[in-house]
Amino acid sequence: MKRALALLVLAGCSDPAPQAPRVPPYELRSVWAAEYAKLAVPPLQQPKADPELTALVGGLVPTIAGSTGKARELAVRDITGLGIQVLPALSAFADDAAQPEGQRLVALDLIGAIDAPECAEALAQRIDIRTTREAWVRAQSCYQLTRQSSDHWLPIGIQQLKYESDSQTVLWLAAALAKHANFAGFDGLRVLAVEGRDDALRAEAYGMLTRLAQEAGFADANQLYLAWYGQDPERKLPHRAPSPRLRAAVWQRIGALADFNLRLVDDARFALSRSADWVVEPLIAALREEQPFVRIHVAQTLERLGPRAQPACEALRAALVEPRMAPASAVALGAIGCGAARAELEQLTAASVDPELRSAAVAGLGHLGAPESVPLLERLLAPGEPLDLRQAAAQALLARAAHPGATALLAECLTALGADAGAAESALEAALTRDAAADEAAKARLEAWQACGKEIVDTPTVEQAAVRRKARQALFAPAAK
Amino acid sequence: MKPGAARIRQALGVAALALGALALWSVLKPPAAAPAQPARPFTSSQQCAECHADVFAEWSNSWHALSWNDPEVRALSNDFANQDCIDCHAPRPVFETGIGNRVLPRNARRGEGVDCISCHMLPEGHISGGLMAGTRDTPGAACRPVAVRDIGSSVFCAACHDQHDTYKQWKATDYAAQGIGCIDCHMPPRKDGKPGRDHTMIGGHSIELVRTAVALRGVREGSRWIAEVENVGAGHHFPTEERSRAGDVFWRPLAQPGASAGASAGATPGAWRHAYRFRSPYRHEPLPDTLLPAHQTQRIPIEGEGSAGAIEVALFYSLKPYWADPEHPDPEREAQLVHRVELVP
Repeated sequence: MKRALALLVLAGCSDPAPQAPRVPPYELRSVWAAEYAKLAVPPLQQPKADPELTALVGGLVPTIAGSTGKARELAVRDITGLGIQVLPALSAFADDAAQPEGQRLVALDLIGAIDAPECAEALAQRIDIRTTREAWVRAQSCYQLTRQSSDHWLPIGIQQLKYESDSQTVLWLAAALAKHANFAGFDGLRVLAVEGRDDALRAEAYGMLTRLAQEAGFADANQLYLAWYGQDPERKLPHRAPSPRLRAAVWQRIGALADFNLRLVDDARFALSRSADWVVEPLIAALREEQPFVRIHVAQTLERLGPRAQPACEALRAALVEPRMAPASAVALGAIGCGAARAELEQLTAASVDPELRSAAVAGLGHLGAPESVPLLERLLAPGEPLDLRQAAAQALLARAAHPGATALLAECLTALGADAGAAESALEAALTRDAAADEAAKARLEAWQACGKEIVDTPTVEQAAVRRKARQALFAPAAK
Repeated sequence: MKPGAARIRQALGVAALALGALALWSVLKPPAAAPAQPARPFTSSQQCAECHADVFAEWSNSWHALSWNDPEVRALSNDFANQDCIDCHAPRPVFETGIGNRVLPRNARRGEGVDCISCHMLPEGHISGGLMAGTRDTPGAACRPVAVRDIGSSVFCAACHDQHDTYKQWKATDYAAQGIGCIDCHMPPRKDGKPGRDHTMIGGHSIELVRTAVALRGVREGSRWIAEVENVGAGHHFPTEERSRAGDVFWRPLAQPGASAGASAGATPGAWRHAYRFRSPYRHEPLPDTLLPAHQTQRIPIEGEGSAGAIEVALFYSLKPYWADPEHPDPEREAQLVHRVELVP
């Protein structure tokens, strides 16, 4: 007892130990499993094949293909009236390469005419380029999806945008997605409208863009495009409440972020970052997921959503204290345009901060592009700082406006050991292209830049790229100015 | 006897034993090799060069070092706009997520590619107390290396190299059963006699290594030739890793026996005719996967005008899947010759 009292007195008399400011712990939990279980959506059960219905389809589909008017109408009604029970027979007929294409097309048309989640699922399975090699089947399935009211297939459809190469499929996939107020297909339509192989295709793509924009209440496609990728401050974009099945599909993609295979992870990131704005809410929740891969890739997904993910601003700021996801959060804060995070990002560039986070904070500041950060970024160009940090600061400065110090450093990075030479080359080329529009000297330098390595017809080898970079670097030498 | 006295005697006994052990240790302890250097943080592979200049030089010439700046990778990844490539081309340390798991992407020092830190750095507070994983404990070194057996295991490489199924392919081979792993071919012992393994880490960019992976021969069946390509030495499929890599078998009527490919003296050789391609296609390509598994042989019938007579058959290897002119491929210009055989009836 006496000893305990003595210890207490001793403790009371000694100087208090210096303490780091207390940071509230970042709470993590099993978000994914809880949310997915909460939705409790039973999997879609495809009905079993029925030999009688197979025979019926085998008889009626050729009749429909060969008839018009009332006869056709009656036959169609006979089949579609059976509902999803006839789906296995129609699917088998549509997939049977031995049948004439015109009749297989009728089978797909009949699937499209039965508005049911099972039919939407069956059609969505046929738009996957890995499993459906016939482009016309993919295009027709997309067209038929425009007749379906179910939305749970949207992540599958968005994912196909990453791989699809058939122009008709791109056209109708964009239309099918737009029906559910998802305009991710506009990227492909815009490419086809400008670079399509012929006038007819370009006109078709342009017409589709215009029609979809008008159906969504926009005067033209550009306005809709800006609203979709911007913040839509006037809330003009049509909104559709997601079905529980679509929510479940989105949570499935969030869970896929933990997959070992990076291709599948990127497919999920792609689908999530091109979903409608409502996806930001589950992504914010998933920033607390205990599985580190999931929460880190969720932050990257928010980064890819850009300004559309602005509601995630506070959640990402809170995530800056979680060491594993802090770098991804710092980059994302810049990419979504969270101006409120500028001061925090600036603090994270301090020399005492982990180098990984410092680099990410500079990249985030680069995305924000705030003039207030320029003095700090200029200080980070100093030779005493790590090269990659200096390069990141230079890229951030040069992306804003012409900057001699940043230009000189990036020219140095074209050949410096350990530098990101490719990124330095891209940043310098982008700045030269921008500045050439208003500056004759920059225009001349851009021409000289483009002339370097002109003889390389294919992807350069390592040696060719090194020679080209050295030549380009010489353009920025004092004597060359 | 008072109980307290017994306790004092016991304590004195323990103290005497401890003193004895200390005295013995001071006599028998091995002499210190070098004064211990203070542990220091490692944030760049260039710091490693201070003590490991030769290994650093090897690595600097490796494709691991080029993994971020290789123009080919940048072109194939759309300048890393395909973000799934970043994780393995500028990875955070393998030990951070654990052996067998995949790696996370790095934000800092991407220009250093797959660097020393990616493979050797241990997470802070690692149970061993070390900072770097190696093959032996050196507690006095600034980087505090500790022996971690698994750094040489094939599963260590899987974090990245199984993204394209190479590790799975190896697991299915006889080599895996025999305990022959990735480093036995790709990180052989250093040639200069110094301890350790070669950090150049040769692989699919080395045509010499590719030549040891496959054999090419021809057999006569009736009136036609069958070219056979056998995976004799790769511990995985041929080719492996990137879907962009391809092996192509070409043939043409023999212009003059004994002339090397592309340099036939006298008669001009005809154009090469394509016979077979070994490749795993991209997802959007309607093509079968034709990679050649380890220990297996692909038989390729040579067909077409002039194929029954004297012909030359060649296996070419390319890091890119496309020909400048798909109708008239020029393998001698666009690919590398692996093997060539002359077949005379």
